[in-house]
Amino acid sequence: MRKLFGIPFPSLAALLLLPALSALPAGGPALAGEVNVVASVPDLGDMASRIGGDRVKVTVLASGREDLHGVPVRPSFIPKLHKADLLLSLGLDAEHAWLPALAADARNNRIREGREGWIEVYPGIGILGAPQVISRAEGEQHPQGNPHFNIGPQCGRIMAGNVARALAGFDPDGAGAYEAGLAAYLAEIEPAVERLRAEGAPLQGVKVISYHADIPYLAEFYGMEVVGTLEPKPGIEPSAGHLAELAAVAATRGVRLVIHNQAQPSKLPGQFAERIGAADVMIGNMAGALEEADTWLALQRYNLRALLAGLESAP
Amino acid sequence: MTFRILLVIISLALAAGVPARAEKETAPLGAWQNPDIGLVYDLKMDWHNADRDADGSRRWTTRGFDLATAELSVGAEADPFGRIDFNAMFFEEGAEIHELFFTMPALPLGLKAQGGQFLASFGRWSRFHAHAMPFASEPRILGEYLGGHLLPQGLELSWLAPTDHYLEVRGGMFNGIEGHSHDSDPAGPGDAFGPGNPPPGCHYHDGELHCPDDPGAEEYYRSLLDDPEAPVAPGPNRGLEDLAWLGRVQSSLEMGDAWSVDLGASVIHQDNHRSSLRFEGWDYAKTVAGFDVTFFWSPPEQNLYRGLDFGVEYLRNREQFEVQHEEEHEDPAVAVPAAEHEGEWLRETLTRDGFFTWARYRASRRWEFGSYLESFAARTGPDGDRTRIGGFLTFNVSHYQKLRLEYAHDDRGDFAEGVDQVILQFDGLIGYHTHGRQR
Repeated sequence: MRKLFGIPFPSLAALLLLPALSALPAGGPALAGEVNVVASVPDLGDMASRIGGDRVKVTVLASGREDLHGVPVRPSFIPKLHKADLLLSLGLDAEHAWLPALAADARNNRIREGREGWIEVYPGIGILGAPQVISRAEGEQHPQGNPHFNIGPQCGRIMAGNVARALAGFDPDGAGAYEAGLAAYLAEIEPAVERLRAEGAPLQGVKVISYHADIPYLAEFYGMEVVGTLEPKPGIEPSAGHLAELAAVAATRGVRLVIHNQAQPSKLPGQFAERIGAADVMIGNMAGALEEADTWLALQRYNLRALLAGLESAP
Repeated sequence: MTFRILLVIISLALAAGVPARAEKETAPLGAWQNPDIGLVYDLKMDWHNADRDADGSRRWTTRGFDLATAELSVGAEADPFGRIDFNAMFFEEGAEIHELFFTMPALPLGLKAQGGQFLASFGRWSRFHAHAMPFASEPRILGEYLGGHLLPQGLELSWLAPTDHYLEVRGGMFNGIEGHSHDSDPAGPGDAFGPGNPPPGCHYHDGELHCPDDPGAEEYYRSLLDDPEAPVAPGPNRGLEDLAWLGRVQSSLEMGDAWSVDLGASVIHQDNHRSSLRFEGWDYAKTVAGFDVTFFWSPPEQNLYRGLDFGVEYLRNREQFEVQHEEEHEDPAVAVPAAEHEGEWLRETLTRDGFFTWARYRASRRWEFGSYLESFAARTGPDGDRTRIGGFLTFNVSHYQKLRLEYAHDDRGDFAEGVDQVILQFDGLIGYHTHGRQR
């Protein structure tokens, strides 16, 4: 075997070839004229489909029934991401536990975290819950702020605008079409959001407890006051001591609703609601969370119905 | 005076503003170039009954708390084309470079490259860092056939098939089939036949093993104790044919929303795994092949709170040894097939196989439990088949700390008495630490 500096020629050739290969474009585009969009959650898939129409092919990773922070990582996501032109995500580290590693393994430089095809739709949203102290002693924090804005009806307009901008940025020829798609979508959701606000008026001032710190945007929209969470810190399981303290606070503050979503344990919130004399309410945390909440707007409607029904049944 | 006070106030106000502005302008300049840093430690305490008292009765012993490993990981994007990761391992005896490798994650044609020293893509559990496995003890079959987790130096290229179905093919070339482990194996030959636990029918005298009724067994046990590969040494890389070559194919199938299965087949071969120290030109090859199947049940609702994974990893090891025989041969330097050779030392090919199977159930975000069973042909021959069964209970204090209790019984057939082991493990993590898309 011929060698150079003691290294066999085939090994040397392979080593030299790698940097050269890395300079070539990677990743697989969609069909000509069609933007291949992968959405982390169904909310964004719904918006991309509505805004992009025939110009986009949309694939959604999460079914919507999972916990937003812990969507099971399936190898089948890899080929989908490999072909993506754009990867839409909520951002603010909402999907940090599962999406960056998948994107990094998809052989597609465009959509790796921080690259031009990795799109986060939070810019423009009035971020709530940015921690004053960033430390793991405070649980599983999101340093930039609370990422559960997709269940805040007030945030849909901004999310949709960011989706439209991302599509137009990748496909400038379709900018007009995306603008029209966005206008049509906003024409549907903006009046609907105003109706939600009006119908949700009875929730104004209602004191609530949630399982996880995931409802600040929802609470802000309807004027509810979040008194506490069953988790003592984000991502930390409830303890008996914490629940006892919370129950005492709930009694003095007059908490009426205990809210959890479909991806969280239902038994504990039910028991705690009974303990403090409140109603237990299950909402959806993403579009697709429940059969009747298959789109972003349907999710907002479902959540309001659930909250009002809970309020009605609250002792 | 008033002017001076005003000047001081203005100066203080400016000074107060300087760090904030400086932080904005200069901190990111340095900070964005800093790599991700994380530290994981693995503290263990184990009890086992491999040792014996002077009267031959079995005795439970412990080494006390053992800081098995502390892993310092540093990694970052190096440039637009790839990243570099470094894992240093600190342990009681010292420190070592555990992994140091580059990754070019998105080369054209669906390729990805890794080079350096890293856990090679062989089988299922060999690729995992010890602290990331769901059990405290490492599968003994890995130690027996691979020397532990396969951690060689080399280059690996993987190709993602351009299909809608996930299919990945990997190929690698490495310096050798080199395993790595920090786990203690009280039922392994080195620990089990020491002065505290001589083999059946044998005893120690002045530090020397004696088996008065069976000189052949004495020779054999000594060879295990001294160095199972005494007459051989790792083969030098003289050419391409001396490297270890790896291949792996892996895929996955989904069965509804909750069930999926990962499938993989791996092989690694090295022509010149060992070289004889006695006979010029006597090289010994090694091939390990296997397949792994892992089922996952992860219900979308409450996926953080419930889950199950179970599977099996089968390995087949074909390895050549230099073996001492009682009858002398006139010309032992002649390399001839074992069956035709009557000499003192000869080259023997030994093919062995076995499996490791496990199941783990996540009952809540905090609690998980499971069991494992492994059975494989050990170096000690047909009578030395090892069968190990164990169970574990894990309490996840949080995502970053866990406490685990494990029990295992190691049955070594007629070769030696079984060994029981209880392990208490505590793992903790600070900083940033990830093993990528690993499940």
